[in-house]
Amino acid sequence: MELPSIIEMRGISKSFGAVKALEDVNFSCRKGEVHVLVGENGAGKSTMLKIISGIYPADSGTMLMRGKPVRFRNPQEAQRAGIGMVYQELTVLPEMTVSQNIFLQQEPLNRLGLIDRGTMRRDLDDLMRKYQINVDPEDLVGDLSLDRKQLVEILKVLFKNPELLIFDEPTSSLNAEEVEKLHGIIRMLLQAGKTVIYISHRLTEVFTIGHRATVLKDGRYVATCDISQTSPDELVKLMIGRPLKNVFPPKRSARSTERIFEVSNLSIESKLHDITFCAFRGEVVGIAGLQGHGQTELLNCVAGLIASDKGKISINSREVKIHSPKSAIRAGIAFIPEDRKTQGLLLNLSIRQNISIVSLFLLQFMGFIKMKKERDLVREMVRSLSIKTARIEQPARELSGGNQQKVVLGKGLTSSPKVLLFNEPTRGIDVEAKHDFYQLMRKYAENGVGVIIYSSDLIELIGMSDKVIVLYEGRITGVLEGPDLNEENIMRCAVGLNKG
Amino acid sequence: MTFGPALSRIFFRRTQLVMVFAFLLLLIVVSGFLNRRFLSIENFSNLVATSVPYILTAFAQTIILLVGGIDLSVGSLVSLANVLCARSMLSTPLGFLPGLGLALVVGSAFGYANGIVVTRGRLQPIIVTLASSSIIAGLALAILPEPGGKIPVGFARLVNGSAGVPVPLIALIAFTVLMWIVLNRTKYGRTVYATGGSETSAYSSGIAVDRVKVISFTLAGLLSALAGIYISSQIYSGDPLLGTNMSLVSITTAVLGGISLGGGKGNIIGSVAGVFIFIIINNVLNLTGVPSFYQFILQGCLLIFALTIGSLRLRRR
Repeated sequence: MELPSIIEMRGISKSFGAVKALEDVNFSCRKGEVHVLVGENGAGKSTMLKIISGIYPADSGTMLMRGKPVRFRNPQEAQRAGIGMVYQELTVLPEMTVSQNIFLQQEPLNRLGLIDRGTMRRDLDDLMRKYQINVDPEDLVGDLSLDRKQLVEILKVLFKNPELLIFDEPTSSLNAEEVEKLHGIIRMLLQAGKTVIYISHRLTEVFTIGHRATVLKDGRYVATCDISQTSPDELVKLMIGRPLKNVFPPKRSARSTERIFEVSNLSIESKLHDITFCAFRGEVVGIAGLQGHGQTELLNCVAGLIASDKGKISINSREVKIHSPKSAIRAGIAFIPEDRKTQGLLLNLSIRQNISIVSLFLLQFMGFIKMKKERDLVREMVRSLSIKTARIEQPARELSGGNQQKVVLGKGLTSSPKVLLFNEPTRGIDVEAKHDFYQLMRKYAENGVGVIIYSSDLIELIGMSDKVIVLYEGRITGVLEGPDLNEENIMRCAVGLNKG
Repeated sequence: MTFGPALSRIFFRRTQLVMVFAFLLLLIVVSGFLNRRFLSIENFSNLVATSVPYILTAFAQTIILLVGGIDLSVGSLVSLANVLCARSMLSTPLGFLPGLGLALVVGSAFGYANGIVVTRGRLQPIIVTLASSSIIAGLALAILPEPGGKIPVGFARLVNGSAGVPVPLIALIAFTVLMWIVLNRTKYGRTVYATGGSETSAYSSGIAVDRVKVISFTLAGLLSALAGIYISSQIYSGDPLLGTNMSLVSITTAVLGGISLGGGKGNIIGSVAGVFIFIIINNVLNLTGVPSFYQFILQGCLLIFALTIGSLRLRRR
């Protein structure tokens, strides 16, 4: 017998400018289940949740709630209809107490129109007792650990007594123990009769907490499966549309002993401890870890954005001193940062001005830029990276995510780097550009450039890397190669355990 | 490249600049209808001479806005340069040179100091230059408490006379071309746009953003002093309160010309048009005898108008 749907989407489409984020998507979530949404970065999961929760209107299609058509014009309407959203980026305010946060904008008032603290205290006690969650209402949220902050966020949503709770990648920054606690709370919510939609990029989690999973790919609906009747391999295949081995270029063929890039005993007070690893010729090295365990610091440090306390960095067995991005670039390190819009690109400037900015010192004579030389260099780069544009004077702002990311890469490549550092290289770019990127990374690795990747997308990391180092609390807890390189081992090392 | 495509490129890809100039043209036509005297050659050469100092302060402000800051000390630097000239320029042939040099050095030094405090102190340019503007204004009053002093006639004739073509017109064109080259064809100019566009991106691209800012503030100080010197040659004397209003005017003219307050966006040629829009409006008000306090009110309205247009354009994206 088909259980009743609490929320159902039929033929939902949504575009942002020329980019189709969702196309003709169907989705149905039954009352009382945990429904997991899976898909690669950019598959449209977040857009879909934002339509359900009233942040974006859909361009076309219908949405039904308990069988009746609904159309939310803003998040408040969705909230009133019984939908609560727990955001990935926490929205709690650190300078306020737990109870001030939970009651923000819904403070009970007394007869004088002032905030009624007694009622607030009583309501909060009731709420915490009901879901068996315990937080001190007078604690400053800023003083709480990350998982406690998330509890406050959840309480804030629960106070409105929603029927359906949506969690957008809630575990991306939690450790194993915290994840376990969160799963406990979700089970509690189910007992209280709630329904949960859950986005996760960790497949293992999907199988512990979910009842059903819906797979999205490139903004389209692929399938909905019962978790009990599927396997991780099956899900991955649905997510990327083909077996893994056809997405990523073949790995390095032979082992080399030539050290292209080497980091030894690199430390940053309370962030990184004695990081030592090296990339041999032809190798792509992946860096893995849960959010906030030192990966970003490691990359930023090698790129010269932050200083190290001790340790050394060598390129082609020669030590290099790095104290600023400029010195890193001169030493032969190109950094492709995580957020291209704020860290990589100059959005108002043209493709030409963006690509040449790193290498102006090569293109100038007495402070004047040699315009022809600049144009030639940029055209060459546009051609070799197949950046899709009619003219190099087009502002970077107007390009698609994939082409923007290629401009950032092109910028780094103009200085003929010996090491390429990627932080989340394919976040938010289309599948075609992703494949271009994978081929390019492999090509540069084969040509003797050290390629280092940090990605939170484990499928990508495992598919691209010859070797993955895993960080936990700023230390390397695992170096995984060959048959050891799999999702389970990475997750074990990422929470401080040994590989299985 | 033939003329046709080049023209169409300017038209379609620089819509903002085209709009500013279209507005300027419209203003000239309307002004001609409102007042016959407006279109006389005498009035035009008068307008050009008046424009030079405003062009220089607009350039100073443009550089700082492009690099992502704002400079409120432009006006008081104009005053300081003016009183320094009035006190130290001598009537002997070439006797103006020490005074000229002094004003330029002092202007650059204050600009440099602004830049150092902003970058070393990690402070907002708006508050640093507000403070330094008070220091500089006080210094100008200390040097010349009452309007007075004297500018040598020889110097005044030299920079305001005619060499077949009026010197102010030559100065206007020369300064504009020079600034355009600096901002569009040099490595420094490129780093100015990059720093103002996104400081983080610029820094991770290996640009020494602090140095770019210090150079920019120094240049702004130099240009402000130059503006003060030019005005001195037109009023023949010193006035410690001369530049009081010029910080505001420099912002108004730059923003009218399409320079973004957010940094990293705008064309120096737009600033020239902005200055002419501003002085033509003032000129017409003067010709028709509107009292000067109304002009202040209008200046404020003009700035708010220009700012609103700028921010609406930004939001439409």
